[in-house]
Amino acid sequence: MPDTSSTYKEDADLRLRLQSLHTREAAFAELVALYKERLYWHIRKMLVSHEDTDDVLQEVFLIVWRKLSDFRGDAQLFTWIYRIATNACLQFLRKKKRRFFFAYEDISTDLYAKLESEPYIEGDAISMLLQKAILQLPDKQRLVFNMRYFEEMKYSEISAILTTSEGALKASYHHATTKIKDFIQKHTGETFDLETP
Amino acid sequence: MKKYKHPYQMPEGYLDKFDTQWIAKNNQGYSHKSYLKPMASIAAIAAAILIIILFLPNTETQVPTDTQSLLANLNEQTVKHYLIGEDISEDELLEYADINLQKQFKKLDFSNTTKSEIWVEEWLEQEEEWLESTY
Repeated sequence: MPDTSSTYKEDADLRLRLQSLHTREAAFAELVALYKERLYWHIRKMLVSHEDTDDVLQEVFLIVWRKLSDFRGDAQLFTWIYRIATNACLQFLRKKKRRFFFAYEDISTDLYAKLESEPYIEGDAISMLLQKAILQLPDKQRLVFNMRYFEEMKYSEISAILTTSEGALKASYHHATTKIKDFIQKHTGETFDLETP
Repeated sequence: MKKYKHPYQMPEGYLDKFDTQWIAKNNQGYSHKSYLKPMASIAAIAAAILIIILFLPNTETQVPTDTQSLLANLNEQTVKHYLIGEDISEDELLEYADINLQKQFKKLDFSNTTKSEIWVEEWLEQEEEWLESTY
């Protein structure tokens, strides 16, 4: 997770240049360069597939570009862009869910299959089992868990992005870790502990 | 305690290629290959309607008016609290909710699963609209 204090300073400077028609295009190229990697990982952990992530990431930047003139600066640029990326992920998953008419097919099965077949995935047995456990969670719990555990975001930052109270996020994270521990213990027969950031 | 890493990897050179790919797609006008094509969507909707008409003629799909008004009175915080852990039980939710929110939630009857599912679906749709409005 990058140092967010420096991110906010960069954001403030970028925001000014994005608001001017003369500097907007160059500033947007900087914005893409600044955010493309961290947004890639944010989306990838939700969608599993590199190809889907690539599609959604491009869509996110298109939305940002189109909505730039509407951005009022009520939120940090960082928060606003993450919110758009998060929403794009959730919408992508919901649209996919609507494609499954039969009970034996569902989105978690689809993601689970991708985890097994994707070329750009490599991890030891326990990391893979952890991912399988994470894929069993509802989308939003998965999102909160990823942001907190892997991206090491503060609850205050996640709260600003998801516009959800810190208490609700803590509850969600607690439920997620309990389910993950249970899942892994059931599959390995051993006690499993997760470091809480 | 060990901190686990995710196993996902990025193809080599992907980020360098991303800018040119993105600009090219932007100029072409974006179409999302993973989404349903319009014709397929229409066919899917028609098939879904047909299935509903044929097999589920008596299924209760209306949320009662008194429930709707109760939902309207729930504050945004409560709804989001419920949504964030979509599958958490009422007891788990109450455990974390504020006293005032608990009072509001106790008014809801979660014993009917079908109704609960309808509420969740409605809230998800409302939330989706709300998120879009925050752009």
